[in-house]
Amino acid sequence: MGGVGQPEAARLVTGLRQRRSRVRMTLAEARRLGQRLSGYQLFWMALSVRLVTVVALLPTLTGSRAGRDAWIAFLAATVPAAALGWAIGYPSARFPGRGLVGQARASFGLWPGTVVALVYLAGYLITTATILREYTDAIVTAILPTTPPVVVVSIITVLAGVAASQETAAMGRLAVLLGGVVVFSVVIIGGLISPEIRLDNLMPVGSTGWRGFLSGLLMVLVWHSQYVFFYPLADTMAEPGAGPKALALAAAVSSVLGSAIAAVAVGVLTAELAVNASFPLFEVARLVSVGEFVQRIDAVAVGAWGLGLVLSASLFYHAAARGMAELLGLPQHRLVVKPMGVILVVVAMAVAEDSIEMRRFTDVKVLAPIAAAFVWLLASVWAAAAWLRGGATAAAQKGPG
Amino acid sequence: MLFLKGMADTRVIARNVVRPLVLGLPLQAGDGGGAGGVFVSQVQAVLDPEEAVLRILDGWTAVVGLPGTGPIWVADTSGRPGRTVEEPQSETGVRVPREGFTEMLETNLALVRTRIRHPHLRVEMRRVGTRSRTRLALIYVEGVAEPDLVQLVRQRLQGVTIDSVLESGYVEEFIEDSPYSPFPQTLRTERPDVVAANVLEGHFAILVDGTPFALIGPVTFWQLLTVEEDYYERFIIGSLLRLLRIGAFLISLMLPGLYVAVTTHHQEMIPTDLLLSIAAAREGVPFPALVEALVMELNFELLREAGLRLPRAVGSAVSIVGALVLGQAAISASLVSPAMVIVVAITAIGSFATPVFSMAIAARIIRFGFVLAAAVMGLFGVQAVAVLVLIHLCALRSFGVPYLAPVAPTVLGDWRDLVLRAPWWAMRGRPRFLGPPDPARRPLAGGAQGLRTGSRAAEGQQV
Repeated sequence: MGGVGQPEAARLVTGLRQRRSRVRMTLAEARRLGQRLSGYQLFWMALSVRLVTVVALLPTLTGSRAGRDAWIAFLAATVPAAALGWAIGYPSARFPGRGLVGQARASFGLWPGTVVALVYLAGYLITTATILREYTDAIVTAILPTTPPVVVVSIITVLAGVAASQETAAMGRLAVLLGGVVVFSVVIIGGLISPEIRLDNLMPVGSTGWRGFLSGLLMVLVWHSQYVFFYPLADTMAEPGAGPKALALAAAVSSVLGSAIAAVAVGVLTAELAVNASFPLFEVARLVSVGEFVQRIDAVAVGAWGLGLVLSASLFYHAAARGMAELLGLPQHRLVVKPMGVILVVVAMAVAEDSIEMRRFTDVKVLAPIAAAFVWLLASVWAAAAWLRGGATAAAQKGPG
Repeated sequence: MLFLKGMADTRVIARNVVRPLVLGLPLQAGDGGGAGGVFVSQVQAVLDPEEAVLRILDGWTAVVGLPGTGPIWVADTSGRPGRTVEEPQSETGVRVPREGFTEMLETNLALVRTRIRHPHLRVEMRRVGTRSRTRLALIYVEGVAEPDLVQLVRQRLQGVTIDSVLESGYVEEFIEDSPYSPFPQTLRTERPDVVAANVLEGHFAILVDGTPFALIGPVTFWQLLTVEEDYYERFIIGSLLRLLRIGAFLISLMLPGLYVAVTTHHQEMIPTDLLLSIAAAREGVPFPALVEALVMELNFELLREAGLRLPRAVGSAVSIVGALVLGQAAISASLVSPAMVIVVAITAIGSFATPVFSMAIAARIIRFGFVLAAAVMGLFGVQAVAVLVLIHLCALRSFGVPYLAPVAPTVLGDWRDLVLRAPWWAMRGRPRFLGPPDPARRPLAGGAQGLRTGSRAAEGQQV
């Protein structure tokens, strides 16, 4: 007979239904997608936050340590950075549906967890203020020299506050759009300037020695600590398990892109010039000239970078507001956005006297101990605690049977 | 016998109601009436006098007091005056059907039904407006539209509590998600083919008696930059025109702001030759670029508004002549520079190329924000307003569907019909973000390969 047996027919029908259900997205799912944060959106959030720093600062900072080996330092950071991303995302997978305070308390206990949450909340505020100040200095230096910095800080804070008061999924959608713009601009600049790259500028490999290379690597790793913005957003994830993967992937991709940017900057400008340039990628973009028509695309790059910075500040602002609202037991995070905005303007103005002091603040000697203690160490301990406590919770829920 | 003269067709009454009654033929309820009854499309027995009054107000004829009968008999004799089906005035095209909606709900429903001859096409009638008692039709295709969506629209329509509904705009403001947003959250159209196409994708449509404008929802940002002709033309042409239109929208939104920012704050960004030309053109103009831009933009908006209110034959002439004469006079008087006139003219063309009127209006409003911010803060101001608009768009929804879908949130499968349009044979599914229960427009088997094989077979037969 050769026909399909009944069990096999049933299996085929079930398979068909499963395929249909994968194809079909119900409106409820579409709405959920609109209200919850997907792994894809988290990936773009993390990549955008990271790329903003990679584009603007890191080639210089890393180059000053690793010289022409900066691109190797970026590549070498791929695996540890991905591990850090995964560790930061891990507690969300272990304790789904909990935010910063919930995860911290579940992992460390009530009071230690509250202290950890407070440490991160302070970190979010300082990071947001630093980004605000960083962007303000760039704007005042390059575009509006006669405008008082406090005006620019206030305007950017309002912009970031409007974004931060939205739901997390809206922030995710913003990240997809703006992150796409940032990546697109980087890729376009790299593509257009590629004929100018001189491989001689990247040679010889290892010229700065192990000490310089490791120092550069440390600088790259320090700045990977930006992924901590994820903790307060974890309870909005559509799929809790997607958090660690998205962060790890973003860390790996940003390392590869960072390596490419560093290689282009050194390959075009030479290591000496790249180190001394304030923003090497923008310097590179200024050299682009296609048929004497496509010129001065550094303005486009700066614009895209500015968009990324606003997104970056908004994300940390949003994280701070969500964490604070959770700590205070408020029903909506937007209730604390305005008061936090006032604090942010004050902190942003007080965080540094000028751009020179800002640059000192970003030095590896200052940042490395902070990042090592509060991010690398704490995040690793947190992931381990979540693994231990989460396992115990799961076992307790499973019961003796 | 009760009817409203003017609303009911007296010839139908005389021939199909009075005559059978005089001849003593039995009055039968039900469609058609049958050979021995009343010869009109619908005859019904109603018990509620208020229901009978509503029918009379709709143009029906009520027969009361027939011997031996209890209820009131109402017969559809409606024949109110109305215009015939004509080409839509606000949505013209080259390769498009010439039929447009009228003010008659029945006619409009027939135009939609003509295009979707399927038993699953659902039309739910209801009345809105406590005094106007306007009839409204909610249209969707069962099995294609997500049931939750239909239920959501029903709930929102129940919230339309107002004494009169004279146009679909009344309903729109009651049912949209964010009333304070400048961006439209429903698509308004005069075209039955647009309604049919959208309903077949899983959207719903609302037709309101007394207006030729239908409402379609949910809509996305990208949908508001497309026209139906994109789908009628070959996909390459349709895609390129769509790209052009998106560019035109961005120009209409940002060009004056960018011009003001660059000429006021960032002259170093302009190539030297161009900068010299602009400087020479602006020589003698006593106002800053901001005032120039505002004067020209307001002038243009005034002309456009005046052109719309005047009779059609005169209106366009006034707009064109007014723009030319005023622009030339303003340049001659050194009130504005030629460069600014060019910028405003290009902006106007971009605005005209934006296919949905309400979207073009949104761009017009936001454009002033860009100009003001650019004048104060240069490109930083432009960037600030752009970020604000983006944040708003990211947070906006239309009937629960994110406004920027399928880009953000990303639904890659729906990108076949986004900025570019894939050929029809490659667009197998309906938009996934609408959650259609039946996601497939065409079966998986016999796709492009099948089509091509079929064409070859046909060629073989011809040979």
